[in-house]
Amino acid sequence: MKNIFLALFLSIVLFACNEDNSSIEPEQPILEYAIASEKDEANTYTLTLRSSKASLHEGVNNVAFVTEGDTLPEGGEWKILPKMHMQMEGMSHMHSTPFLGFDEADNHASGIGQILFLMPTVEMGSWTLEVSYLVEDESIADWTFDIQVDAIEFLAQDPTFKTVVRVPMGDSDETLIMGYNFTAGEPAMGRNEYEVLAFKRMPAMDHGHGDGHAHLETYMPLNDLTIKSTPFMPDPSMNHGSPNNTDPSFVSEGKYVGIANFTMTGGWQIKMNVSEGENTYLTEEGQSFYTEF
Amino acid sequence: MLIPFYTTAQEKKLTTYHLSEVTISHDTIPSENYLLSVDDYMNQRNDLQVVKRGGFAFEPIVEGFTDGQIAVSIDGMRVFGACTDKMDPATSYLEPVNLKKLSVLKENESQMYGTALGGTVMAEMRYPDFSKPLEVGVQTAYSSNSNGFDGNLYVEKTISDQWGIRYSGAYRKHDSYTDGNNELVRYTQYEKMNHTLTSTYKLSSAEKLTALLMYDHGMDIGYPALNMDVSSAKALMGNIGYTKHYDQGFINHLEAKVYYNDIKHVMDDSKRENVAIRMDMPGSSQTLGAWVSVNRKTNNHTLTLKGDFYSNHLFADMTMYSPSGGVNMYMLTWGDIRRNSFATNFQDEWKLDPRLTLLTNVRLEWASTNLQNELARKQLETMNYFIDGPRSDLSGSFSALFKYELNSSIESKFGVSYTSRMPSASELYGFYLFNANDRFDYLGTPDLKNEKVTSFDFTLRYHKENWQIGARGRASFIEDYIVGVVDENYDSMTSGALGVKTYQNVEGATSTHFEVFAGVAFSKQLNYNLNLVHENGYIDALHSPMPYQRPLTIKNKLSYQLQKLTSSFYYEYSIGMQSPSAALGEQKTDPYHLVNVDFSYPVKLKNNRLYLELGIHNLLNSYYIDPFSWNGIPNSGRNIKTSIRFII
Repeated sequence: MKNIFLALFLSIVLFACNEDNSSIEPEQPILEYAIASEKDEANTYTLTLRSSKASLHEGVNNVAFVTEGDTLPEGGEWKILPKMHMQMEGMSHMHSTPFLGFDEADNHASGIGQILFLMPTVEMGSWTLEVSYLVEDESIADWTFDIQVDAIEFLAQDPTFKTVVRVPMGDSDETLIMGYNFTAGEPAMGRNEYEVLAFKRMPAMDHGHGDGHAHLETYMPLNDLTIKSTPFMPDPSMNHGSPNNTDPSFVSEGKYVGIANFTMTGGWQIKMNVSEGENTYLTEEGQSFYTEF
Repeated sequence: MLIPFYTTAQEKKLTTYHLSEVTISHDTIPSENYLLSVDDYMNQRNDLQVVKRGGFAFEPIVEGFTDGQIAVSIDGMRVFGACTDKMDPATSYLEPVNLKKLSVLKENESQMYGTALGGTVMAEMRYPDFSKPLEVGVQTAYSSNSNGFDGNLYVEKTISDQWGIRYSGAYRKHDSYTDGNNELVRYTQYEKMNHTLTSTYKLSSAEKLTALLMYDHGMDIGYPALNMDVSSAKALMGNIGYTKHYDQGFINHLEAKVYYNDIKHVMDDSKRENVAIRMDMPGSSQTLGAWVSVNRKTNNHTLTLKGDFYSNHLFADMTMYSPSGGVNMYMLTWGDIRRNSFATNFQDEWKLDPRLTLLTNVRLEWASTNLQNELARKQLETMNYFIDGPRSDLSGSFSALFKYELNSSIESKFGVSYTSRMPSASELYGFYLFNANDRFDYLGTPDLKNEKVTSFDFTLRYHKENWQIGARGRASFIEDYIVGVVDENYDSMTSGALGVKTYQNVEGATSTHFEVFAGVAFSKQLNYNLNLVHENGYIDALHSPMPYQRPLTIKNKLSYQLQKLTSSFYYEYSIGMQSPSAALGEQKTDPYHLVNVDFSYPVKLKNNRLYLELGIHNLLNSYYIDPFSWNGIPNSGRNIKTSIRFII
């Protein structure tokens, strides 16, 4: 039976607070790197955006929002909205991007979640993260982070090598969006557990024009995909795969976990064949995840 | 005069001739052989075969048994090559000018130096012998085929009655040779130098200390059978030995040695054209060891007990430079493999009867082998092997050999042995090691079992005063034979490789060795020797002949002394490799005839000796491929070698 559809309408997700009010030890931050800190609009609460890496980048990012100083009231909910603001030929566009997680939230922190940035910050477009904390639907604090999302550039020049895979889903306007995350943080020689985040992107009716949230696109986690994977070294001098890999399989809402064995350092593709029932969305000849290390 | 009638090292005591009060062993390297490279020297021997990958660093093979199945001992030291592709067998770091003997030990004797199925190649270095206050020898040679220079120098000085030192040095530089069709065989060039210092200090008439320090450096060594060459191969070896003889007491002789050797080997392909990818493949090997041996003689027994230890560390990695501008690639091929070995060996020579002797040998070895590098362990996890500590292996051997003299002319020997050897470092933990012979990448298997061999050996020899004839046969039955087996689950990594093989234990391999030997001294000036060898082997599991089995080969040598001119005529015929182990990369080769002639003429000087020497090797300029040559690389065509040897 399919999982219950959880629309990320307007890409807004509300998270119930955990009743456990145990504080986070400052000596052991929830994630290693502090990316940015902002005061809320009332200048009362300070919120820090933390990440598992030193900077945010195109693709899957493990992040958390952690309060500093004054404590928020208990029993609230977090609301998070990533936005890409684009200016093209005098027209403004706005897009969002999918995310997952933030399950273990409380009045100190949002818990760890994963934001899949579909694109980096560019000259004509910048990212913000709008974060709110609400108690009984009443906003207690609102923060806005202007963030830099770095592009990931590879030495290998191949348009099909991706950190974010985007392919049309059949003849519809919907798009399959996938990103990867190595559980250990970075890929390495040997056995690598990795997560694949998969979403269906449904376009906004007005394509994101204007400034209303209701006009942003929607991302729906996909839970019934079948993913066959082949780690592969595409360098012409290599042109080989690796043994004993495990295809990603569904573990939780929009998330699949597999094993990729990398026998050496270098540039590695993870070629995929992705289908849902009778529908095949991606074959190994198409876009693939790619990484260099 | 020497009539070298030997077939195996075991027969040395029986077959060494005592002429003119001089005892010369077959294995002794005389100074006229200093110009030969160790490769040439091994290639000429009847009891040793070599694998050729080019013009240098031949790999010794003993009756079809190869690296991992044989042991190599250099001056009592265990030495392990630092190249994952076997480009640097330990013997490649030797020079005849610093050697006293190079022996091939089989069955009983071989186990003293390592647990070996096939035998042990044992090199003894030359130490001062206190025979002269000062001896200096200089030798230079020119080889026409490879535009090659060989030179060596030795100085042996008796400093006092107690103390003597000896220095020897050698330098060689050869361009690529041409084959019998006068075609240049590219990448057969090499250059090397060697410096060796040995010293003996007599603590008393029965007690002495010895020391050795050797540095060897090979450069620009080509390997036409492989994808890569060697830009540098360095070896530093040293040891200190102690020997004491007891006239009275429970033991008669004690000998001990501590040693260390360090080898650094750098493969690269910078001189190759049109390579798919540029690679650097350095490797290193360090071995620290010590042993002590005691000997006791009674009326009927000669007992030897030896305990030895060594600790060997191997490391090799590979950097591959992306030709497309992509990120460079890196992997570990030997990821800090450490083996610590402890062994004890007991040997008894028991004279049961004036005509019957029983030699027994028992060896027990325990070793701990560990893949220490965390990255290398992670690499092996891709093969579903999770290494979390060292593995222990118990290996060893038992052998018994009866020697029976039917009468003063007929001798016979019958031996049986059982040997269990542990897998080598490459067989356990090697990671994508490319074998250019069968063109497969090889992966180690960390849970390999020991390889076991039961061998039967028989020798019959008839001899009269000036002639002899004999035959020797051996049959070996191998269990858990370790061999590379194609594994379709793996992709090859090396460009052009045919696939991947993993080392596996397979059942049911057998090998046989048969040889006939004869010799006759027609006069003091003229003698003749003949050796005929044929080997056979089969691996049931692969339905394939076993590799490195010598096809029928006949070697003849006629030596003649005309006044002061010494000459020798050597003729070798082989039917070529007719039953190659195709599954393991061997190819058919054609029959060949090889003729060498050598002349040496001494020039009388007042107090010194000067020798003029001329050798024409491959006189007929035959185009031939050695049966064990990798990838059909032809041997050198005709080569005229001239030399001058001067001894003060």
